[in-house]
Amino acid sequence: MLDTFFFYAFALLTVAGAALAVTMRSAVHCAVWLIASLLGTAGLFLMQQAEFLFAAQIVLYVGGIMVLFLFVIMLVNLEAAARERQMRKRWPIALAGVLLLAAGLARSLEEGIRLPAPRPAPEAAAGNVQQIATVLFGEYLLPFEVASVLLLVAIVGAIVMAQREDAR
Amino acid sequence: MVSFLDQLHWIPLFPLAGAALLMVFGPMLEKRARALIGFIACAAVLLSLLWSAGAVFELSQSVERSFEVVKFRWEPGLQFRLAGGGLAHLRADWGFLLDPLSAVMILVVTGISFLIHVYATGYMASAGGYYRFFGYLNLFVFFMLLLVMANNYLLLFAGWEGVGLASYLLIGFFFDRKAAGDAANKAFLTNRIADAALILGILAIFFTRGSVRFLDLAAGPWAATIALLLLIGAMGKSAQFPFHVWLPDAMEGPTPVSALIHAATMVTAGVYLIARSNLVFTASPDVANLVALVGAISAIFAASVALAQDDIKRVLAYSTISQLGFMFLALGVGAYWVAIFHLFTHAFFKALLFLGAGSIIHALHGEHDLHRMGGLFRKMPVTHATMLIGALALAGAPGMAGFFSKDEILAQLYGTGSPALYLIGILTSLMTAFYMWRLMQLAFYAKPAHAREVRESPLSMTGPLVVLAGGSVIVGWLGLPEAWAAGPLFQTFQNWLEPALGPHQEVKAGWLAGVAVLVAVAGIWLAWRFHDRRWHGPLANLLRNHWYVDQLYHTVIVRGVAHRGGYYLGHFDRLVVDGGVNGAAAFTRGLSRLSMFWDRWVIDGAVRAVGTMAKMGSFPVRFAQNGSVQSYALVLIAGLVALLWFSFGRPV
Amino acid sequence: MHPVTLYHYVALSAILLVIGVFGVLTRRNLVVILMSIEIILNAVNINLVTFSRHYQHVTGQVFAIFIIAVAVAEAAVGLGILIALFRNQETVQADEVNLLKW
Repeated sequence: MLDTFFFYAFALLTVAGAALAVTMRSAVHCAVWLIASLLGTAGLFLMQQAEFLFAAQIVLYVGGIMVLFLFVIMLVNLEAAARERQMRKRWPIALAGVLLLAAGLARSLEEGIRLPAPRPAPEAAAGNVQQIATVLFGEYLLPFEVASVLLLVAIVGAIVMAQREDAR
Repeated sequence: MVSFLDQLHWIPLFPLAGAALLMVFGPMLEKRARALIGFIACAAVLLSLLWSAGAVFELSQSVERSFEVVKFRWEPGLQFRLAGGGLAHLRADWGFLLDPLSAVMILVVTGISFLIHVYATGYMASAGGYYRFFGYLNLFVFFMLLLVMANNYLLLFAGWEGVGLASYLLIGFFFDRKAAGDAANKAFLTNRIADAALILGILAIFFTRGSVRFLDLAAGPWAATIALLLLIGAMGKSAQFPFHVWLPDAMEGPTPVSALIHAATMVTAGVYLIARSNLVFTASPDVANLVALVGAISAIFAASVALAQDDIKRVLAYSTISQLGFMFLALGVGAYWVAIFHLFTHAFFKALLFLGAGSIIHALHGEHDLHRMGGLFRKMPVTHATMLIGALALAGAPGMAGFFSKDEILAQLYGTGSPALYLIGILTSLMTAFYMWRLMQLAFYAKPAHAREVRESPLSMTGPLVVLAGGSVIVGWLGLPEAWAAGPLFQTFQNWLEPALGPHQEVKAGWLAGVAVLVAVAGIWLAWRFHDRRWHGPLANLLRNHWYVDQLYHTVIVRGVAHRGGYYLGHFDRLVVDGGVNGAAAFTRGLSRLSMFWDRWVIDGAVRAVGTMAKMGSFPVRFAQNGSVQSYALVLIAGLVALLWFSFGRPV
Repeated sequence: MHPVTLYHYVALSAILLVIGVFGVLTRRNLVVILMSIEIILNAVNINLVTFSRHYQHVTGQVFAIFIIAVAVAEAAVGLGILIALFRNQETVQADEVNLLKW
């Protein structure tokens, strides 16, 4: 019962946050609502016993990415942009596409999700973090290393892109 | 004792290593040790040549005439449902196949490449970006070897795209010239269209046969579809009509590149592909006829254009298209070994002609115009002698390599094809002899049209010329018809290729050779008589502008897609409405000036009419190219919706 | 109240996806478009975690970690491009940036 209540609370926070994040006029407000949405998602992760992801979501997404966003919003002068039109001229076409997508998804959901039955939970399973570590550094070690290279490349790329011409 | 055959995979790895070395250390060596750069590049190709020779020798000694080495096997867990109902993994092997067909190809590729590498050390001596040039050249050799040695279509495709990339990089080598960059783009984009068909063909092979290995290929279902798709792919790479437009422009690249990539090796990949897939082509006669038709159109079309070109390299480029058309003709009538034979001899004399042209251009400091050459006969004796051999070989003088292979194609056309194809072949031969001799006359024997001090090229350039000239004489004798001279040596070629391409049939009609000789002599005589004329009139314009094909493409495709809508409505008004009025006026006036009228209105008018139709036709499509990322994202979502809608409920 | 099932989570994720796509397609402000992409990625993460729970296997969560890593990289590079764009063109409106055509 409490579970259900929390699910709906977090789901509401997530969806409402996301909806406001894509509709608010000022980019700062958008960012703040996105943070709310991400926090809601983090709560949902916690409810699914994904403690590690819960922490990662808050530290990385809210603490990292969103700070980056806010930083850029401050850096780039968005006041002019906030006064302008917020939607593209042909947004009804896009809206039609989005509605079609929603209809398609709804139809799929209505058909129901047929899945193989879940396996019984392993007995005396290790903690969530330990489980993730075992899989991440065992089976997925190579992708993990590749991801680190990707991040390095992204750092260098971001620096190069954002650098001033005369600083080179 | 190392067995070259067991270690087959080393052959392409040498040039790859060379390319890597040059790319990493090249900038360092560029200033201090230029000679070392050329040495590394040549050595890499030489090693791979020697290794290939060893492997081919071992293959010829073994009983089994097809040898496969699979180094890595990649078999993703995903299974695909085949057209026939079964399930199969899409296996992508890093595997190599050496059989008589690929043996011929690797010898041609490594042999000619080596000579051209040596030549390029002299030709590019004073050019900037020395290491870049040789790095790309080695990279090309790697991909080309990958293409011809792959044991499956996927790896072949990797090589196929790789040579396209190398070709792009080398055509645009002088990237500070806009024409070079444009030509590189044109080559790349034209090939993309054909490559899309090729990859569809490969997928069709997989979905009907469950394997993309060459050895698993059988006639089977969908043969015609597969053959058609492979043909389109081959037409792009081999610059066959209507995909030929990129090849003449590719002459913007350095001359050794034109010789290697755009004459001897890469453009023959299409011929190789069809010969490699000969089972599906034999199984679908309609598509085989289409191959012959494409070849015939390309052969005669390109030869006619070559008659009127003034740029020495463009003459040779159109000649290449024409000769590739000959190979397609042979493929189309099922004479696969003859096509490969012609590919082999053509590689020698066309590389020779290009390198000779490069030698002339080098000596004249970049002059391409035939009318501004002349009198080189005495001043460049080696270049003259070797080019004379090359020209005679291409024109089909008896005893030369080109004579035997072309004569064999004509004989096969006569024997198995239709008389019409034979006639086209003869006509093309006549034109070939004409434009080749016209080139020789204008470059070597005409009165000098320049006042430059001309010196013979250095040994690094003349050496390869001499070797290639020797080859242009000798290699033809390896594939004689039995009726002329029976003996193990004279039938080396057909006997060697028999295990891979099926038994060869001989056409017994001795007088055919006589006709071919007569035609060659007639062509040469005509050229000798009329070489100095500058032709005028509608036909000459038509040929000089390559039948307006490029203009047509430019109007229909480039402008049709590129320009914006509002502009067109005005344009439509001007062209169609006003054009109609003007046209009527011009018609009454033009009756008296028919010849001019033909040029200006019928040809250009047809071009514009087609263009206008395309503009109207592209009316809705044009707006898709508006540069707005979000519109593209919308298309992406539309695709997602379609996928969701149509695939739902079906078992995956 | 019904107990919360897999179905609820998947539906939630679908709703987030639709919201994100709407943002990407209609907003003009590039910063908001990047945020919308984050929403889409978040929707995917919810799905992954849900199925990870369903199958009692953490592979799904590992993939969610990879997605977060990619999202970080994407945000860093995307915002870098945005700053460079703003410096050169004085705009962050998506429909005013259409040089990449023809």
